[in-house]
Amino acid sequence: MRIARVIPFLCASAVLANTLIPISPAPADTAPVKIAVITDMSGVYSGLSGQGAVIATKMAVADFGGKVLGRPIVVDAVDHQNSATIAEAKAREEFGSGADLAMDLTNSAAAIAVASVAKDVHKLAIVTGAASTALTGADCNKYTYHYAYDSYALAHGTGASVARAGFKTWYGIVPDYAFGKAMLSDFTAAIAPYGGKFIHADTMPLGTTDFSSYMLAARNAHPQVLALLNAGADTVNSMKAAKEFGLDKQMKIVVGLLFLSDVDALPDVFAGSRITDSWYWNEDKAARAFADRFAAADNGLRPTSVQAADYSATMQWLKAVKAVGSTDADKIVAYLDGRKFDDFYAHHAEWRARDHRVIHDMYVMDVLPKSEVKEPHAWMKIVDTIPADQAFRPASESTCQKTW
Amino acid sequence: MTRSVSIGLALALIAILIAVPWIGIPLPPLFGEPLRSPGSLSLLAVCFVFGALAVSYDLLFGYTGLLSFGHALYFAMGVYATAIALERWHWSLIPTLLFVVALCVVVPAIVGAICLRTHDVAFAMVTLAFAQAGSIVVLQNPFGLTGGEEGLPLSTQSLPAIFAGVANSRNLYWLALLLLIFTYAVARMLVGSRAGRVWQAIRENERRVATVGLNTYLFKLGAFVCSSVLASLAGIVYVFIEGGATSEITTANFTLALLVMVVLGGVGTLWGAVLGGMLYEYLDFRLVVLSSASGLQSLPPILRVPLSEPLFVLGVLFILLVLFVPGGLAGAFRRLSSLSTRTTTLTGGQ
Amino acid sequence: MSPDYIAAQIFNGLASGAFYALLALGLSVIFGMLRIINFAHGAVYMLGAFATYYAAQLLHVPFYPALILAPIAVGIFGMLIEALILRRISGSDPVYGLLLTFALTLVVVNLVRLLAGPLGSPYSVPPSLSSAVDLKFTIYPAYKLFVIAVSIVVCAVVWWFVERSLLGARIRAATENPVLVRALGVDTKRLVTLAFGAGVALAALAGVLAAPTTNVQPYMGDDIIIYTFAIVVIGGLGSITGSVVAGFALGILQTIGAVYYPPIATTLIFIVMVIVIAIRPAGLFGRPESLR
Repeated sequence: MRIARVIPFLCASAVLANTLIPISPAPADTAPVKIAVITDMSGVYSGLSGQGAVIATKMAVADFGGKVLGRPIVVDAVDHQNSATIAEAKAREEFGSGADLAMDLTNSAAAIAVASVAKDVHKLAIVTGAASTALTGADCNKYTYHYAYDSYALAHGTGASVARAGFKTWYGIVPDYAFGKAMLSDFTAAIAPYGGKFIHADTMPLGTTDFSSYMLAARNAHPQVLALLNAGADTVNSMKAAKEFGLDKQMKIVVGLLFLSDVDALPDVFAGSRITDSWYWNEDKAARAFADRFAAADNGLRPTSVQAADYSATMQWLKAVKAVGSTDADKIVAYLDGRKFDDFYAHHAEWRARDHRVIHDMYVMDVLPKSEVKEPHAWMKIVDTIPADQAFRPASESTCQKTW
Repeated sequence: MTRSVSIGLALALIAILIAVPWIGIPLPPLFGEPLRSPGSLSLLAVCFVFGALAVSYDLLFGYTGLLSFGHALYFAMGVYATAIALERWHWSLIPTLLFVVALCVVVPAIVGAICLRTHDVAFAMVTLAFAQAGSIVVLQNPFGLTGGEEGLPLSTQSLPAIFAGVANSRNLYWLALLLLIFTYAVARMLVGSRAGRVWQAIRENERRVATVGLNTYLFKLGAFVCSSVLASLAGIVYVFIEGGATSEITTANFTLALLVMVVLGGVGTLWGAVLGGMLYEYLDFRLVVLSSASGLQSLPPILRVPLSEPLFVLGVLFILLVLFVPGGLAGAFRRLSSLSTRTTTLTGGQ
Repeated sequence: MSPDYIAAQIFNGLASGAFYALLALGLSVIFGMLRIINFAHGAVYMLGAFATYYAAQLLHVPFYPALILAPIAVGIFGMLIEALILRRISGSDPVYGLLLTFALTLVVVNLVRLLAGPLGSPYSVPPSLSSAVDLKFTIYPAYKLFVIAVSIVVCAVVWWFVERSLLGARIRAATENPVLVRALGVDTKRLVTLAFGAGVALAALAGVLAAPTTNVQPYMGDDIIIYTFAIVVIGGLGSITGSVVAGFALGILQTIGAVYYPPIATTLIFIVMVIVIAIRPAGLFGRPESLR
């Protein structure tokens, strides 16, 4: 009887003690250094980034030695399922439980949401898989770096290269959302210095699945270039429609946004088109060496530019942590801002202080027809290199309101 | 269950929920971190918001029988109107709230007046059309207001100080809890009122209600506006928790998710809707994490791979639910409790 | 814009209307018989396309046989689903049918995604149809003419079957008064299963026709399903004639809209729907009782 009476009291005091005693995390000097790779693991971007991004990040950690400042390095793989709300919540959860860096962030809406969280908690986010220039423009902040490509770089690379080769009349297939409109304005600006202009560029309403009417209109307009400034399934649908109406034989086709993973899925569809990307696995010996090691870890698949960027960014960050002696984001930003570097992924690179855009060389490539492909996954041929100081929006034109 | 017992239980539950930010117990695998950490509090807060949203939809669909495919529109209106007023127009908090509530009374009144001229399937389709229109407007980013598909994050100056920053997660948690309690109380009151009884009668047999002399159109419009206002309030709280607006809440899929929440919890019982809303949102977030749990990894690939896909699991669960537990969680609970009373009468009455 | 160009665009409209007509027809047949709004219709369309792709990849089935085999295979799958799952909720609140088919979509789409990946699977136009035809007023892709022809023939056959044949009469009677029809000795359960299978097969046929010119990916049904619902509402739920007429008409309207003013192209279908419902809530060819 007496003991039974005591039990509730014991329980209550246990709960009370638990609430009053603060949760003491492991002391900072032995807690692991955590990198959270937040990306799309199973949806439309899983080939571009996905599991391969985690593999690449882990490769960088292993190559660095697995430890920094005497602490082990842990890589968390987080699936944001292409939802900005989930990305935001997961980022909060990861940062709250000790993550020091959010990496990859493929999908612009998710990247912008996580950038906002990073600013809130004063920890770093490095974006490799999103296209939006808002990350270094209206939504820039001290704790976010935009590492790999953006829509400006893609448009200027392809636009300038093709216009310079004498293709002056352009016809645009533009989807009516932020990405499409940004691509159109960037392409227009890129081709203008070489005498190029868009003779027509309708913005297609969202949800367009049938591009036949636009392809027929393009055929009637007789441009020299057909520019497909959309992404994902829209690009495939418009390419298929373009081929149906014979446009690939009449004009040059340029695709705004295309990656190795897209061509791996549908090589015949994209053959003959010209694109820009930040890296190609077969571009030189160093790139190929990385690609071979990656293929051994990922079933023979070759790394995409985003996956290579994840390795590169992780390695650069770990080096910064070691040099600064801490994972404190403010100190790392102070160390990185303005710093120049060069690795197998980023050539002539710099962590630009003005707007946290990491600049590096970009490459214009053609997608080869099947007959010219010499080994599996060797879909591209580099036709032009855009130097780092010309590839991205100039610092003087940045719309970032720098508050740091 | 007697009335005083259920009130007592409800109060005890509310007390526990209020106290959660002080409870440091870790609860794996339910939560990744201890209950009072910002991550868990933020997840709970979102679950509360969706519970409130599900209640608002239950009012429309469960009680009045109006199958609307466009309810997400009013939630989205609450979200975007708040975000735009705070971030783009730099209004302060009180004018923003007044504006949003006013907007979310006027717009549903107009849209409802148009949609309610139709019935059943046509009504569902017309509400869907309006929701699609809203989604397109948001994505096209007119005048740079909505941020299009990239979303509209709130800068720290725009957020009210007590809600800004990770340190104030517990304030957001309590705000969301307050929203849920308020929405539930208002819904309960409405359902118990004369209007509420007319709504339920309309659900059963609208023609009969009309022959009695009541203007069913006006009553349905009232249900439409009330549920939309409650949805927009949930939207306001959601913006504070998320720190901004994102375009995925404008999609038709989102309204379908609302329907799933209400049916999951049990149509026509308000607390069922709360449960359904909270459970659905919780599963949406945590199923991905649970699927990488070690127990699952040991299964053979043919089982492991599909089970690691949260949407697949959700779909299967839902099929099983509709087939075997059509009354939702509330229905299952009621059947269980009626089972226990039956056994007591059987054994007790000798 | 020359008349030749407009004429060519009208053919584009007929081609996209061909898909809408087949899909709307299938949806109408299913709603007419089962009173279920089949949310899985887009998923079935996708299954038709993937069945064609896998038949080519694994069994080396060329396009023309696939045109017949794939809809049959998917139709049989549909009949199994009806008999095992959907039949259990017949007679309950229609919202359960909606939710069940929505859940089925989640399951099917995600299974296909696990199998085939989220990006597209390659399928091209068969060589015999990949040329262009000289139509005097324009050079037009042969494949699109083929799609228009197939759709018109199939719609005509289905119309004749439902309106003129004995089985069609039984099906129509079973829709109007299932109890009486059962009392007369007709097995309504089998008719319902058959009708569902037929509706599903029609959607799958649209999927087969779409595979060469559309990206064959798990989510390909998502976009088209919403327009299909709108078209069925415009034509009249449960009306065969309405679905076919509305399908082709709105295909043309949408395409011409895209020619003159692209921003309105996708919302045009919804605008027409709202107008039609305001004037005739049962749709152009629908009967008001069919909404109960």
